[in-house]
Amino acid sequence: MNTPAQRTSIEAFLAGVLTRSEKLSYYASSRGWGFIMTWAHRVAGLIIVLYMFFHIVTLSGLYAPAKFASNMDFIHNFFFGFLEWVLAIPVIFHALNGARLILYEFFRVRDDAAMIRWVLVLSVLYVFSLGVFMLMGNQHVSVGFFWFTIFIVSLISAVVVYRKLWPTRNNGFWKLQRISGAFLLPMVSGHILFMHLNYQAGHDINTILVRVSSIGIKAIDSAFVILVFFHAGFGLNTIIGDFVENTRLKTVLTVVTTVVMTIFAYAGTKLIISVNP
Amino acid sequence: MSKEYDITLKISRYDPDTDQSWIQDYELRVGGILRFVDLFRKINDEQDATLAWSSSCEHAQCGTCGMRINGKPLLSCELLVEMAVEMFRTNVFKVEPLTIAPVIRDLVVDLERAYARVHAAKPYLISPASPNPQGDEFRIQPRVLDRYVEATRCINCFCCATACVTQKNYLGPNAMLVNIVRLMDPRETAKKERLDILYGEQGSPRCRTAQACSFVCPKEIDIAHFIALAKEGAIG
Repeated sequence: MNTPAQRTSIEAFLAGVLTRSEKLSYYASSRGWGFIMTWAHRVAGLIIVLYMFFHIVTLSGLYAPAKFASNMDFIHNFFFGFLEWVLAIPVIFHALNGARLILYEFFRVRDDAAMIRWVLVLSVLYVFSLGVFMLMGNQHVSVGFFWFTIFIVSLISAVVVYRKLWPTRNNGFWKLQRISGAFLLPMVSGHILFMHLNYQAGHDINTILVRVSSIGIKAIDSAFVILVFFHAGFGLNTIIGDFVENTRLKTVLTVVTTVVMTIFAYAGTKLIISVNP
Repeated sequence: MSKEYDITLKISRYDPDTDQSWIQDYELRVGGILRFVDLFRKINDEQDATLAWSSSCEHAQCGTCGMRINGKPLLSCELLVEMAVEMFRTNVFKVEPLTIAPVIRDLVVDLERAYARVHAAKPYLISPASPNPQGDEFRIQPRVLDRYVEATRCINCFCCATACVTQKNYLGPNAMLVNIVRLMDPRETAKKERLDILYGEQGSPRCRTAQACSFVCPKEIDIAHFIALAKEGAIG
């Protein structure tokens, strides 16, 4: 009755906080923390997908700079700032937990209790640091240097996973899901951090237009958008496959998801490529 | 004399004749070293002869008595009352059947239906290699056996499949293990057929690495580890 998962100290570490919830406590004792992390990963992913739709719609305002500027003025208050900060929680959790899964599945990092701890601790540290940057609101960094560094780190992360994973007999799209995840981990955490280093970076129309006018930034952002929507689409189709048994319904939902994701990926990429100061 | 406990079993009942489901409470005063199967027998003898449950070996070797107790899939033949009180920190236990197959009556599920997944994974050597010409036996080197001997302990109790986060369109952890054991077995020559099952639509792509299988396994097999080896391409 004493399985390896039970022998770990993860319960002791998290019990004080998380098991106050009856539901969490029930699943922690009957299925283990990995089960809860899996569900949290799914829920976080769904929140991110919904936000990505909203993000592309709001960014399409860049086609009409005056309207975009007025929209940014509207959200320039504590409430929306707080929402932006809260949104970083599912994003960074999903990214770090994805890294945990990749490390477990392909790099034999089997001390999962420690990994879960790291995911939670790093998520808290990231979100806390982001909050501090948002409150300070006066950090500056070289755009080219920042994105070049983030892009190189993302590329290395993706290549390391690619080299490990590609020769295996796993399904091609399944492999791409992991590889895109490895690319997005540094990319998405860097993106959120960059947008809040100072208020202008993510909200001032002129600053944004000057930044996206760079060919390098256009290329990086386009790759970012395409991989985000591929990753989101495959993730949604995975969830559909986990719950829908009816083959016809599954096919319909898969096609709808793929079409919607393709449309948003196209709209996002077109926006990045065509918008100029 | 072991300590006595006043416990309540909230047992999920199902009558197929009337298609009625309900929860029935049974109050018991029992010794701490009684197993849950002993409690069910006691209920049959003293309170309610109609309560249906299943067991066979009652030594954690056949997997017939698998069920959910306070949500956790486990073998009721190896769960002592005192262990359950300590594990769940309560004297009230919700007892439910496994979710892996339709319920036939009360705590008894249709294991034949559950076994369909195991059969899909072919729990036998599809194409055994020829034995050593000098003898009848096929010798397996200890270092080779060490790689997968843990997985051979599986008794197909379906606790892992019940705990698994993926309940549909998936062979399930124990059926995956059935395939992985034969893939790692040097006597099996039908590797391609086995790899097709392993990486097929109902195979490893459906595993979410939630590790609930390893968490609940009564035989303490780290099932998630073996499935991860398959994803890594380290098997076959």
